[in-house]
Amino acid sequence: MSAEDTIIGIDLGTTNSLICAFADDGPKLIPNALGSFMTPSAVGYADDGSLLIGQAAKDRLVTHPDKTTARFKRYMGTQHEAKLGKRHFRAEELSSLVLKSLKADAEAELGYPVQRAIISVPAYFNDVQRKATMAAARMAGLTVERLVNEPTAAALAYGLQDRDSETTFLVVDLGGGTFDVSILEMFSGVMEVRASSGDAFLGGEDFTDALLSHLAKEAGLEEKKLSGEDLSRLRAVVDRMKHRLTESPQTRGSFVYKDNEIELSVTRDAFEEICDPLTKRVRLPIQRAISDAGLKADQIDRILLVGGATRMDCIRALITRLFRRFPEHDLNPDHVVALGAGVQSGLTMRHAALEDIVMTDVAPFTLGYETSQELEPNVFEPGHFCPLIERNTVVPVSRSHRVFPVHKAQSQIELKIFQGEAPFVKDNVGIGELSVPIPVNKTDFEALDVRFTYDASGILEVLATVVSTQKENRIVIEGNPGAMTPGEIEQRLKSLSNLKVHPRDQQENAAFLARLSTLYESLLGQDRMMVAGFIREFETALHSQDPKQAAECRKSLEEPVTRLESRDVF
Amino acid sequence: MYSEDPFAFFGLDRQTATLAEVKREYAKRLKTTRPDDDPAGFMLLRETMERAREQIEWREDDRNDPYGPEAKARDEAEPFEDEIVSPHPASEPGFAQSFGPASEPELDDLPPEPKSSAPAFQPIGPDEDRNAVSEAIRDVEALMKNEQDRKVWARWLDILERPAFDSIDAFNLLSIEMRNKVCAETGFNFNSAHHAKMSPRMLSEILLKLDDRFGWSHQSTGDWGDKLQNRWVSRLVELSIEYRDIGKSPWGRQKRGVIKPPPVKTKRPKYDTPAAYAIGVVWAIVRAVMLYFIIRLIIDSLG
Repeated sequence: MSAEDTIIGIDLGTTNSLICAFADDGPKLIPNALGSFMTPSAVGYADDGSLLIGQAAKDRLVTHPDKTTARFKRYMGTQHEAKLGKRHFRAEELSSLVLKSLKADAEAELGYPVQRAIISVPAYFNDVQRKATMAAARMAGLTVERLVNEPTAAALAYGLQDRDSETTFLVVDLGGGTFDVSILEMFSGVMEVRASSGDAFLGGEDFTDALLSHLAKEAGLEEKKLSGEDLSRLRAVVDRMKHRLTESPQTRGSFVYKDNEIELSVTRDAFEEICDPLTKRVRLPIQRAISDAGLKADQIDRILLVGGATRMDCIRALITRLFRRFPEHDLNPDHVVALGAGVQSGLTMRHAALEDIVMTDVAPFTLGYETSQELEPNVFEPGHFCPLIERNTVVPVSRSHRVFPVHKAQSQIELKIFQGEAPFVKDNVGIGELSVPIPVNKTDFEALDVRFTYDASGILEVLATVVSTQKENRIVIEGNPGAMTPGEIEQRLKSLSNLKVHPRDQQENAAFLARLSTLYESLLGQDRMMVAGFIREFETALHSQDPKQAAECRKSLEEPVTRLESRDVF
Repeated sequence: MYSEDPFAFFGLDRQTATLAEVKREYAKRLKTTRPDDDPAGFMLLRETMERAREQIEWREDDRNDPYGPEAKARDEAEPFEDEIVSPHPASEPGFAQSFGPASEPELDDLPPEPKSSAPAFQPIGPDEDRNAVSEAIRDVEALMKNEQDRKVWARWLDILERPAFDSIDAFNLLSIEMRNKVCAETGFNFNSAHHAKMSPRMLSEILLKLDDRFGWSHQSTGDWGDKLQNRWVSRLVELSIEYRDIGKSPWGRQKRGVIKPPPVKTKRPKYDTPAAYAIGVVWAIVRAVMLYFIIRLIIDSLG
């Protein structure tokens, strides 16, 4: 396989990101510079002013919260900017930094430059969020061959194991920040998505937040009064406690606050109660997907759990109750989306091993435009949503409607495009507008043909043709507060290239140092003195400028550090 | 292209082709018409497949129709083998029954014996789900008659959160029946969603909570009947609230206001029908004649 042809699959997650390439024997995950498949989606400034990405940044989130950020996928497609030191970053820029780091990992592994990628996005990402993801890839120097929906990718990874079967899957994908449900049917080598649903703002991070609020209240801490540093340290402890709860029915943790050690403890039952409002939000999208697909619970052959957050007991119990049977989770829920993105890259490359597989996906949202309804003669009420492409229509798809002005002699039609399920546009997501001039006609109504074309990546193109003149108007989605204009992307790209990224071959050292500092903060007394000694030792090794010496020092410290780390959660 | 026979396209016979055959032929062609490589070809293939599927469904519906020509032919051939066809999926049947709860004294008969009165609707689904839903709907009716309890959401939850509704199918069924109930209670009229009115027996606050629980107002699409009812519920929701927090979303919590008077209002012409025009003309003549007589009278009196 030559360099130009290679397409990598990327799972750009809220919490972690992964890369995968398709080899002759199937999708293969690619490790990062630290040897791990999972690169935390975190970005921050190191002390020397260079940028850290991944594990090092995640650890520094605890010690330097004002210079580090994570969970930015949640702000994709919005104007929200994270402040790192003095500079403001958009979610697209932060994501592009993560993508760049993943690209470097892939190039190091494969041995040649990589330019093309498949990126997975939550099925429930809307148009603006999808375009933002494309923009991030562009800033990272990657061409997106297509976006693949995360649950679809997961089903591809599972479906490949048993490709001749005729099966109906339900994929429940609860990741760090997003929740997706998809129903897929596999027959004669066709992987067909029947229905998708979800909640773009529900994920494991919300469960951590809920547990944090609860524990903080119990410990008499006021969340709002905690400093950024204390809060992110507490969050790290709580997050580890949450993970522990999947293995044991009860867990305890300790949090050092103003040189006092605070004991935290929670049982699995209590956790379930705390998260009840969140767990409830899982039910409705599943119900909607099933009723959209026109199926009954017993017509689903396999129920697959995907995404790290499905490890939680309350989620597994809920799914079991809903379907009156146990779900499957054979593949690592953290890896399966990336593996599926790898399969999709193999499909796009037309890899010989996947010759007989075709995948079709659906539009997860209804797309339409605003209309006015005539309440009584000549009295119109604007704000109604008129669907053009209904949700769960197989994509790519192209549909058109003929629309008319409200009055004769009207000189233009305001075409406002929305995405969503509510009957009033104000409850749906506006994704663009276009004002179409029409000839002034005093005797008759002019007409406009509105055509929506929705491609396989979930990107929409709108074409409006005036029937009498055949003049075409193409929509340029601008003026949307969430989306970046091409000019803006160029400008941001330029300023990004001025930033110095921490060299890849030193990532391990940076990450280890960050880990030591985090550990130092979370301990007291003698243990803390011990870690201070470790830090001195490691810094001396670093100053020697000898990579071998640093590596040896890391190796020797690994064991005691791991032991101390597991002390604050038990 | 639309006129083309979908069965001819797939090389199948219109009368005997099964859904499985259509899917197999579709899959075969899909391998050479991939959505990524040939979007236009794929769209045509997909549309043709969906039309074939639809026509098979109609054909099967006709065959299952107990009064259709197909059934008649079958009856003649095998006179005793026809089975009773189960009622069609319940989308509306909840109505008839809930229009007449004027008979308040019935309250004394409560709590109702589950089997004492046959329910007026027959939702489909496994028996246990169906029974649980029927019972819940009866209890909701009883709750709505109780002036105190019907204001308390916890009482509603007591019914809606029964373990029987944990399973997805039972929940779906409950959602349909509860929506029927809400629509019936508020005078559902599918010709006009503008005249939705709140019922004193189902407070706005309760309605909003029900809608949050079942998510009706955020599903404007789907089956025709569902769509109309969901739109109806949306109207009720509009009436019920001034503001609702739509969840934790940076997309902005849009204020959902009560519907404002329509901004576009043009002057209606005075005489827009021939009859009105005729009356207008006659009236103008009458006035002119009266004026003439009055002036004559004044002139006469002066003279």
